[in-house]
Amino acid sequence: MASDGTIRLIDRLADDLTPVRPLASPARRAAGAITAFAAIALVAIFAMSDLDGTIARHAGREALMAAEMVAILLTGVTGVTAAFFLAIPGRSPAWMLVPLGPLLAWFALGGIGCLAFASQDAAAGGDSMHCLVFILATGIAVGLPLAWLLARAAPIEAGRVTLAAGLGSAGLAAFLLQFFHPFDVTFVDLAIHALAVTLVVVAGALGRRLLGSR
Amino acid sequence: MIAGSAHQESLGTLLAEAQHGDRDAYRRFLDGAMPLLRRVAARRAGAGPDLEDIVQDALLTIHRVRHTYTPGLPAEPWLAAIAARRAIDSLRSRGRIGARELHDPLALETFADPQANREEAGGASRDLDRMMADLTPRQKEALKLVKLKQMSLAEASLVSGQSIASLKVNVHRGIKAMARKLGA
Repeated sequence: MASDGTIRLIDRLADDLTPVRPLASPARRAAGAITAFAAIALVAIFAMSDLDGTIARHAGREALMAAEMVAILLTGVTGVTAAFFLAIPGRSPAWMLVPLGPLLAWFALGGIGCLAFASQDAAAGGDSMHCLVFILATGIAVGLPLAWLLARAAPIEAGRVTLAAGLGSAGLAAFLLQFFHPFDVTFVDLAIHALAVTLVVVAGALGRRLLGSR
Repeated sequence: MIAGSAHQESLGTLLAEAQHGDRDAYRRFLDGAMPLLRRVAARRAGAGPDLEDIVQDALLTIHRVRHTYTPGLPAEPWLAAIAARRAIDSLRSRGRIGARELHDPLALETFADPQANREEAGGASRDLDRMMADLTPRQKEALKLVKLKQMSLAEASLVSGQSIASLKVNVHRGIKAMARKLGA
């Protein structure tokens, strides 16, 4: 039996009701966000990156590089998609696990690439700080508009949403980095990638208040 | 019976109509959702004294995020997730309060006989009741919601029907009246 306070609350909520526009499906919203990122990324790649140099640098190991780039892109895409699904009450928490497969593949393929192809000089460490700054800056640049879009759902599970969004942003940033990466990936680079991804995810988790959840 | 009719129409259909601004459908939706909210909250947090607060908190959250329901999908998983979340928040909040309070029963013991201590424990509650006895009903309600239940003014306003300005005045006047009584 509802208490008087609860009955009054229901009456009050019903009296205060205003029409709302239902959010589009999480899949559609995620597709919109990823399409916007893709459009900006394509402009940046064609206008600013050394595409020929990137292709030449990967000569002889195109298949491995392609697989690694697909894994990185999938980490970003599944992370962003998972964040949109997790922001809606009642959607499966298993969405949190979806980006983990591509993430593991990314680092496994990156490790194989380091072992198989990195030169001795490169093994000493590439321009790792460049990677760190690039992933952090791009990850945050992707993450802020993403947080704004996710906040429209006022997610009640903000922790999970920000983790997935942070991972998605870092994945998309790392994918873009591949076109601006003027040297072979080393283990130090890979570790720096992992650190950068972790920092973006942590920044996302700390920024959960941006989502306006309560 | 309201809850029964709500289920006949399906909670999802009612909520979809409420998203268009149909107040009657919304009232029936909230009435119809109550058993589910109560059941989920009780399963997570137990059927203790906080149950009604959790249900009210879930109702406020439902109101705030009603635009996130996708028409055509069942509303029950959506409702259950909200109630479960609010129950977990309540348990965490209870845990935090517990962590800051004394846990040593001996520290509060005044008599060896537990029955005698029960009497003492009831004293504080009686003192509070005595101090609040002379307050107006609206002052009592404002103090209970804002200070004892630690609701925000907006939540207390929704629950009590008092405006936020009126709540502020009633809390302020209630505390002053209690302080006067304490000093007398």
